Amino acid sequence: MKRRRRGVSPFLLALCAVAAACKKSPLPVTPPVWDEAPHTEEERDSGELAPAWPAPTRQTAQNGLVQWWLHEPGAATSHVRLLLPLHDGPSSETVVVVAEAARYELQRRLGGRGVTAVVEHGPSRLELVLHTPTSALPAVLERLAATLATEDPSPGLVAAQKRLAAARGLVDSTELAIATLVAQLLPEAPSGFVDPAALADLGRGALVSGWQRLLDPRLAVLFVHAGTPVETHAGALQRLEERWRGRGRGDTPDSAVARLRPPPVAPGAGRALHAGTNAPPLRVASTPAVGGGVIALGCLLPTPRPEDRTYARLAQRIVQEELDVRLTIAGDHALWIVVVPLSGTKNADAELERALDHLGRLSKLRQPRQRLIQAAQLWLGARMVRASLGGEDWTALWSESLDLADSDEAIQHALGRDARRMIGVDPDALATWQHPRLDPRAAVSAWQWVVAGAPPRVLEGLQPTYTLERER
Amino acid sequence: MSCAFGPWCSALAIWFAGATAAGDPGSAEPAVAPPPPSSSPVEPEPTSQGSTPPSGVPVESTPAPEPHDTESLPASDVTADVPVALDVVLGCGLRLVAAQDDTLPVAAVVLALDVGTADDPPELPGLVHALAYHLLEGNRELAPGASLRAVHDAGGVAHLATSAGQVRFESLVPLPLLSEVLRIESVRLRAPTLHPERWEKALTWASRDTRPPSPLPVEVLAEVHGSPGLAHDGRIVSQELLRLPMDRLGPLLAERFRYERATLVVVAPQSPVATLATVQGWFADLPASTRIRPEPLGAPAPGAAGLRELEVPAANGSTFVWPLAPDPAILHVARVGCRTLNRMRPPADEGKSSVVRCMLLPDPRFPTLVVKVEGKNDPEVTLRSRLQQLHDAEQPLLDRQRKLVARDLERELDRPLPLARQLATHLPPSPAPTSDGAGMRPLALLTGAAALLPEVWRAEPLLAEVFDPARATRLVPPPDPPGESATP
Repeated sequence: MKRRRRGVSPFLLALCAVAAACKKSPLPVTPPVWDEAPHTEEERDSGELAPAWPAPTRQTAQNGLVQWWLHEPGAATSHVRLLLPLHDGPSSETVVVVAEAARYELQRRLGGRGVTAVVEHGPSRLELVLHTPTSALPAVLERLAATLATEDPSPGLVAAQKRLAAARGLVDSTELAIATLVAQLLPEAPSGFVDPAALADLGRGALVSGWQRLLDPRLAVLFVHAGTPVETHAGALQRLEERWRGRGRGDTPDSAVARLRPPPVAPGAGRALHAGTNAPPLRVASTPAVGGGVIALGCLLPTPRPEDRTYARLAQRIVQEELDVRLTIAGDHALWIVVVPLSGTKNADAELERALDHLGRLSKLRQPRQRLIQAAQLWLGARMVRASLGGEDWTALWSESLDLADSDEAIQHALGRDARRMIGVDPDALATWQHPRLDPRAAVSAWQWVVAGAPPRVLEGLQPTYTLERER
Repeated sequence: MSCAFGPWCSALAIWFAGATAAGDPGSAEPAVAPPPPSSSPVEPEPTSQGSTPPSGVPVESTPAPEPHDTESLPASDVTADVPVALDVVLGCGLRLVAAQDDTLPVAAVVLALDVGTADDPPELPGLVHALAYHLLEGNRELAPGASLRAVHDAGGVAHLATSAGQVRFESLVPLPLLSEVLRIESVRLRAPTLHPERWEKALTWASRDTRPPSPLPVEVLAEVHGSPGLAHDGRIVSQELLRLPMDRLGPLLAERFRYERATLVVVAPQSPVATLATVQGWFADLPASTRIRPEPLGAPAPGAAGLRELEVPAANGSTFVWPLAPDPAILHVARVGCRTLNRMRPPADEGKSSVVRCMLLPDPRFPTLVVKVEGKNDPEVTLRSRLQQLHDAEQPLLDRQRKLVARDLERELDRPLPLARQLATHLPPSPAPTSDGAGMRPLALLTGAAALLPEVWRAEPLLAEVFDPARATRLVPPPDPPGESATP
């Protein structure tokens, strides 16, 4: 020990000498290499990561339907997308039956012409989509008018109800957890989860009423991406306008963004997720589910400014590299949901603690500029590549752009501006935005959590640490 | 990694857009600015095959104009209204096909090599398949896996496809990455890393590849196409490959994977001429060379009676096989004929039990048509009866199938990656010398879609040529050995 102390002493002296020398003549401060300014190529690229749409044609028909016509000369495939808001609408069970009835009827009538009818979901809205050879577009518009203007839709609705009831399989635990969590975060919005019993109980009157409520042109928005100009289809559009009428009186906004944007949501008082009694209870979804136990935890993020949407998306892309994070942006708010799988873990509460700690750490991390650019390029590039692989449907991207826009006029350029903001994001501003907002240990956002598909053994493991609240 | 794209190809596909983690930020290839476009001209006019090119002068071998080639539509049709693609051979022997699609800011790039598992040496089965994977293991310019990583880090997708007749490297990338992908393709075949560890890795990937069952015995395909190289499993990873010394690997690679055998297809929002300029820049430093065309196939001559018979142990005489020319127009016509045969109602004298099933195996170099006939009647009689019915050009069923195939083809080829893949997989021969085209050719000719136009369909008797019974081979069982046929 003694000899060792003697050995260390000269080293300490030398270290002190170096430190003193440093103090006397400080080294010049150089910016860290990992945070260098982007290359000019990268800045230039951002403008090429969104479609360069030609100016669309917009009009509001006399039946109240807002129409956007995106003309791509010579496109062999055309796409028709009818967007229907779900807020203040019928129940989730009614919505799926109405959507299936309309889809089935259109597919049945148009399938022989090479048309594909599908139902997609956006934030708080339903999207009925038809992909068609451009040559069949007039027939598609005619059939759409005939289907939407059906006097008595009840036979199709009852048949759709039976098909759906027969097709209902076991629920996936992740879907169940997310649906339950969304219902907690947005109690007024349709959760998207369909209760088989409620589906079977729907009567004919409720279905017809739901059809009329949902398929109302005064609430709907139509996007068309066509290989032919709108003038070519003036007759078919006029017949759609004349035949498809809403029932009763209705006063709806002329703006597509205003129609489809969910109503503003109060984010609620901040609540942190942790063990203990003053945390929100861990909701246990009662519906049996397959896929192993999962915990979904999340919060509502206020995104009133375009910058907030950019920050939310970039933060999701970064955290996504290490945890399963889902983000849905709907104008001035967004849903941030983290899925923690419990299958294969012996100690569920320790797994949950690890995930909470991990999220907290990531939320405090300031990312270097280059890493943000890389994450942005991956996301933006993948968006375009996915759209290409998915059939080059401009209406899908237009729908995505709508969620980023503040007005109808802004839709055309919203994706491009989003791309530029993502590439040019300031790392410090992002770090300030995400912490403590994204830290579930901090009581800034109103966090909630749900466990689904977990076997009793796992729930017993969670019971001593967390307050479980079983769903009725 | 996952397998994709049809029964004929193996594929390496990584979709990186979704939930998976992004790559190591430090591992992305650094962006390299493209060199200035080469000033050397690219001449569509070829010189004669085998001539020694003067240094720096681009040449290509001269293929004889095919019946369905540029002559199918007059040159005057190449107007602003007709979609066109640039089709030229660069000085290094690479064939470039560039088309424009500006629907979205993405670009499809496919490097296709006219070499496939049919070109395996007899003593090294599975060589080409393994070599294709080895080219992903890096070279003097690219780190192992760098070509895939560059694509994935930008949100793109990349595939590797191998078949009996072709190897393809495919990518669909955001537009800003186009120049980088073209750079990667310009160095992909150069100076590959020859290291046992990399070779072992390539063989590991190759052994994990799927091996879909062939609808026909490989020996039958070899016999029908007159190509003995087809008579083996092209995806096997044999002991011989595991023991292959590195000093042999280099020459084997260099012999097969050459730009003179390659076709680069680019479908991008920019004009074909702009694409050409970028490609020229990246390929400018390759030495001038002569394009190498695949060796002509030795398809057997028809039998004396018109229909050739081939003895196959498990056959029962109900299967008929046609070798097809690797021409996109012929394949589309064959598809129309197949669909029609499959939907044809049997004539009254055949009986309801009579069933005809037609199938197309669209290998890039060895496409094959298979017809199976079931029923009480003699299969050959039934087949001839159906083919006679098929050749009635006025029948509505045939016309409807032609329209459906044309419609589906038009929609499919309206997207960059399917179009690039179609052009790379089934491309008519290189352009003949033209005085006015300057390398531009109607896209419908390159994709073969022109053959489905009503006027072309009526003018050219391709259907009769494809389904000519005299060119078919019937698979029959071998005769019973003497003394074994008598059954008490």
